Amino acid sequence: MKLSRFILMLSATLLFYATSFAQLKEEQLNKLRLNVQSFLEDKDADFTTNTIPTGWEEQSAVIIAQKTTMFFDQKTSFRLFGKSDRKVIIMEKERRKIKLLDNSAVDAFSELYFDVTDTENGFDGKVIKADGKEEKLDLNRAIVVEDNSDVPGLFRSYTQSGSKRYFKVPVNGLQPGDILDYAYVANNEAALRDNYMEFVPVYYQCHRPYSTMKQEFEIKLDRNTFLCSKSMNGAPEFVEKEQGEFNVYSWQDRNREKLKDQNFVNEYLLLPMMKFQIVFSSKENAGNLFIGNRGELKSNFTPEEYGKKLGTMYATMNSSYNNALLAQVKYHLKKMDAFGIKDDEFIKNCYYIIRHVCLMNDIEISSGSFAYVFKKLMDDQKIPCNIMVTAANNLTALKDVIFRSELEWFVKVKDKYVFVCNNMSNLYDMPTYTQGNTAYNLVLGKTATIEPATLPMATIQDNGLEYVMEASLDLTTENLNVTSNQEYKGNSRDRQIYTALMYENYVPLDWKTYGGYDELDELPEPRRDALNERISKYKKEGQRLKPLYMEKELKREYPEVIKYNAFRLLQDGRNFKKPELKYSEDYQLGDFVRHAGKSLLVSIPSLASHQLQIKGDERTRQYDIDVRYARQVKWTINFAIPTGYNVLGLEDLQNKIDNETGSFISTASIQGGKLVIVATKTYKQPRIGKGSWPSMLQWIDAAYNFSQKKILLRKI
Amino acid sequence: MNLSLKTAATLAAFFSCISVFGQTDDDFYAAGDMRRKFPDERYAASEVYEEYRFDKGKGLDGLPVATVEGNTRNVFVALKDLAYFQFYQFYNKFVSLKNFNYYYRNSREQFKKASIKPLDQAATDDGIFLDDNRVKFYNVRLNEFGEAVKFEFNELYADSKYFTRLYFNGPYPIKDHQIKLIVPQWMDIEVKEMNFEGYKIQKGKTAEGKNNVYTYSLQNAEPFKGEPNALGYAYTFPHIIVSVKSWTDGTQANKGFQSVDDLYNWYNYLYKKCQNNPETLKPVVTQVTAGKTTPEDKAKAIYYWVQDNIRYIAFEDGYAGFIPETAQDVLKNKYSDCKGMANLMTEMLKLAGLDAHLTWIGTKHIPYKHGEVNALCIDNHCISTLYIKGKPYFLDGTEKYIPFGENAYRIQSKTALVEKGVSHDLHTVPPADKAANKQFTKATLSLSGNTLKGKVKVTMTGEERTDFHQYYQTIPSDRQKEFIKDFLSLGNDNLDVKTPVTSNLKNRDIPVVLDGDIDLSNQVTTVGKELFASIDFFPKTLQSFTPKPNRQNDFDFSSAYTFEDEIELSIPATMKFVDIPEPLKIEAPDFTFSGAYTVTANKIVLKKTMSIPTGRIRKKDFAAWGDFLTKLRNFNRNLVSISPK
Repeated sequence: MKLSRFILMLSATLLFYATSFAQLKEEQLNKLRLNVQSFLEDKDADFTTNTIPTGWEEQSAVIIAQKTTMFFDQKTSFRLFGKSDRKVIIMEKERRKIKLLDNSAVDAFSELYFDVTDTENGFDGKVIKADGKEEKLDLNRAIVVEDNSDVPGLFRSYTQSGSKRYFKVPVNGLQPGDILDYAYVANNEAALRDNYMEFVPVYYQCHRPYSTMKQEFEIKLDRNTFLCSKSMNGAPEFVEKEQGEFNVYSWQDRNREKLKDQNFVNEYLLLPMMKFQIVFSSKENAGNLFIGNRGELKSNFTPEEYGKKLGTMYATMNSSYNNALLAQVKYHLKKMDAFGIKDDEFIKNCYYIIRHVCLMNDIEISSGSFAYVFKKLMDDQKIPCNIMVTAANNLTALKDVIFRSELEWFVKVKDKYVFVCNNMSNLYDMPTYTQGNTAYNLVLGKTATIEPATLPMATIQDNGLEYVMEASLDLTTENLNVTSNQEYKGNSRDRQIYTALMYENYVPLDWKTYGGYDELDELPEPRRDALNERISKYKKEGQRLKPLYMEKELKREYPEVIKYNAFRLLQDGRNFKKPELKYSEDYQLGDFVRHAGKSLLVSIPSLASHQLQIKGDERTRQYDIDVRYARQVKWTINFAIPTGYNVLGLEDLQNKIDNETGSFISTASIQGGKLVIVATKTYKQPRIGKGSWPSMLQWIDAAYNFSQKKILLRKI
Repeated sequence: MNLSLKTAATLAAFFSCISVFGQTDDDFYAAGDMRRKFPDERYAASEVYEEYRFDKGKGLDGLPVATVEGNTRNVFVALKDLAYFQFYQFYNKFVSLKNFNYYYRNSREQFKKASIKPLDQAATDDGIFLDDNRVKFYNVRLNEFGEAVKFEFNELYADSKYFTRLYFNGPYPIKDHQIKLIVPQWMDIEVKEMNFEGYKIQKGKTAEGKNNVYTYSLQNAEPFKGEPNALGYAYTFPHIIVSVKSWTDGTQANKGFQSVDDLYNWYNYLYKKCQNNPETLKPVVTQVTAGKTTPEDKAKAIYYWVQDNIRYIAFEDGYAGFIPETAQDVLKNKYSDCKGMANLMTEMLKLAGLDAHLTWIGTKHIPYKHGEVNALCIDNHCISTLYIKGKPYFLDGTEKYIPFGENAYRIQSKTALVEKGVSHDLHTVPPADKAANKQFTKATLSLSGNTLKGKVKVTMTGEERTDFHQYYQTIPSDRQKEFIKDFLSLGNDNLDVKTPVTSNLKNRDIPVVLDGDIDLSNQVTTVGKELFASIDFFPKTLQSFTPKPNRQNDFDFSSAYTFEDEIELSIPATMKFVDIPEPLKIEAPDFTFSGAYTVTANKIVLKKTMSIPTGRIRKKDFAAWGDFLTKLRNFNRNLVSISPK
């Protein structure tokens, strides 16, 4: 029955349909069924079995078979007048047969979603009961999905583009132990505006959320559509199945256990994975595309091929978009009279003005555009520099790059590396994903070539994070008053800066970070005053919201935040000369004190919060370890000893575990009426072999156990 | 374009909130007044005026019905700069929404209709697959203190049965809320006044022409707050419930809702539209009840089969929100809503030769009882009532893993309206035996160096057991073992569980028992030869139930329960316990606690019992409740001191 409701938070961004509760008409349903019938009834041997392997019966669900086919075909509609209408027609089909062994799996597949955007789309399915009896899906009960963000990824096609209209249907007759066998056909088309089109790359991990007996992709391409694919870490390869007017490629994988969660795993680089991309090109082996010859399944590129392609790609960056950006930057440089100044200052100005222009125009600049604009500015000033590329090391190794989108472009100038900026970055920042990578130095010329290079790793000190905490105990309430001063450097800063600068007024003052000028001054006075007033109101509103936001953040670290008193931003970390993020917080924490007679035991070490605890199965390691970047975290806790008490129990707070993977070192001493605890936790290397896991556990355990200790306050 | 100006323009766009609105002295006065009264609020309604005009019409199957047309006006003012909110209005197939317009103040300080249309989207609750509830809304931004906007809209209730409640409060403060009911003199309505006590609500009834006019008003109404663990607003806030009792159409007298009989007749009229075909259920009933001979065993088999095999997927479009799906459809689909499950279960029980009946009930969200209120807002749920030897059993198909004979907390103490053909029964669902809903945890520990080692055993009965099953049975089966270990760690990260053993978790009738060997680290602090051990290693602090100063609602625990803990620590004979913590005992009608440490030779035993016997903490008791939580927390903070003899 209808439950009344009064409060509803609504999102203004949701799509809506004026006709509510839309359902499909019978002829539409028949068409949906018909369009998928042959695919769903295909006598593929892998779909005929209803039996799952021994040993998998205790799992939540087992995918018996799933097959995805994609068909790409270019179509051109010639017009008597005007340009021809060129597009790529894509038909994607997917069939999945899954045995649902428990309530959780039944819940997960209780409702199925399907795309009805194209009249040739299809959808149907059936439930196979334990006795072999089949029940068809009742599509009459399908209803429209008003908000497409409700559609789970499992039901979206790989090739979808444009706006879609989805329906959802409850699966009738479904019970644990049943097999669900369903399929969809989704037709898409992509308009061709250039001589090429790259479809979104697919990164497909062989381990799925459910154990899988058989999974298959079959891709059928016309003469002008190309497949690039690479398999890694033991994943099967795509193979060519047919050649002719259409080329057919197939990828099959069998008997794959479900995905297991584990800490510190660089999944894309360690687990079996296949990736592929479909590229349409009117020209085979096009210079700026990562494709091969017509009909060739491309999986590798020689260094010479890389060199040529990178050179061509760089040449195509001479686009109107990039040049407009370049012009904006030059305008600012000219207005600041920055041409002709010292090289180091010029480099700095260029970087921060690009950052500023992107910030003010709300642009997330690509690495290619950044590198192009930056190099052009260096060329103007005649500062020698090189274009370089690498690949994000949480996505792929450079040697395995086969898509253009995998490349990260940057510039080497005066022996330093300049990577693409973001709203918070500083000049010469080394993003985590680049550290220690192989890179190519692009030697431009008639025929571009590449020279391999190795990028440096950030040091432990580069990524330091330091807390200096002043703590005192209120003996009446037994709450702990804390002032925490925090300083973040390098990649540690990158992780925290968006939180720290939330609701801060850095946007209108961004020009100050590079010594620019206030653009508001260029506006007519009434307009400027109105904007300044508005900015002032936002600032005031930010001051109200900031402590509330930070209190929520603090509650993630400490179980009982009694009161959040103040946040002070000391240094925003967006400045070349002062790249460290520094801020201070005052707050009050509860639940730190325990009683033993008249003595108090206080969990002062737990101020070093969020210590990782490794338990159970995770103590044995299957994969190599990736902690992303080397770093050191240091806590200095100055605890004012309450009058009338002695502090005891410091022996347990002395630790020194130090090995090749990292360390945890802590000391505790009494200094001038204060208990001073100093602890450092150091991740010495970003990537560590799984054999070193026991060494790593030594200091991870020591840090965790330290955080659980208490000190004794004994009444004098 | 001058690039710098372009960038500046971008900056301007980034912050562009140029006001098109104005304000009047009255707006400023209202805003200032409301800001003083509600300093934390960013906006308020300076005026809400609701007028409802009653009439007659034709309803379902051409039956005569009373209709209601509403005209509403809301004026909002900003109490601070930059006030953002959404003004929304729900509608569905029983109430249509028209002329929903947005007005702003123009330069002449008059309200001018904006040319924008409201956004429109489904307002289906989570967990409902489809219903007809939709919402139209405007996103509003008031830039300046004192800025004002106005909304007007019309509602048409095609059948007054679906016009039930009017609240005086809203999600925002309201300076002046006027409600006017214009009722023709040939119509008789009943207006029930709920929670008026403590509120200065002015009311009146006058004759105006051929109408009786009922008026209600409240000034400075505080806003509803979304508070965790709260019962429905109907428990706390003043509101009126409107029922049309009768009206005449020419010479014909028509009856509305005058008593529970009328309410029942309407439910039953809709229920009879459900064309069950019991024949189709026979095979499954035969299969499910095979070998069962007693009525209880047959009922239990059918009840559990429905719980386990019918998923909750609700279609509630228009009258489908009130007419159950047929039993044969529910059986075929293996999903439905509460009505469909109740209908299927009733039909299956009947086929098994049992005396079962469809039943309408309101859950604990609704504070009313049948007989005291005659309106559709009294019921929001449907179950099946089974009589065995005259004793009613209340079977709720949506309540998974509940044993036969036990009732979910949400329907306990609620009145159940039972279908009996032309008549009906009215029962009160009995409350559970408070002592039955219990989690008993026993830990036996001994000191081994700095680690506490031993065993832990958790026994759950009553609703605690059902709650456990409702979670456990829906997690993936390959994670269930891990879940048991996590459960036995009792929320303590330092507890390592080995060799967990469970009772038969496929049997919902027996207590759930989990036990295992444990290692408990980081609970002992050593200072010289003294040890301080935390044996109260899984304290329940109930901190999330600490009342904030301005909390509006009672706390609802969604269950009445008891936690009983017994923790025993043995130490070597060469050591002794010192500084034994003081016992604590607190007793109040809605909460009790007793805890004590007892030493016998080299053993100390901590026994604690905490009970929330009504599942509810009333607002009037918040001071005592706060004191209870403080004392509970202090008791939980005790450590045991151990020193050499």
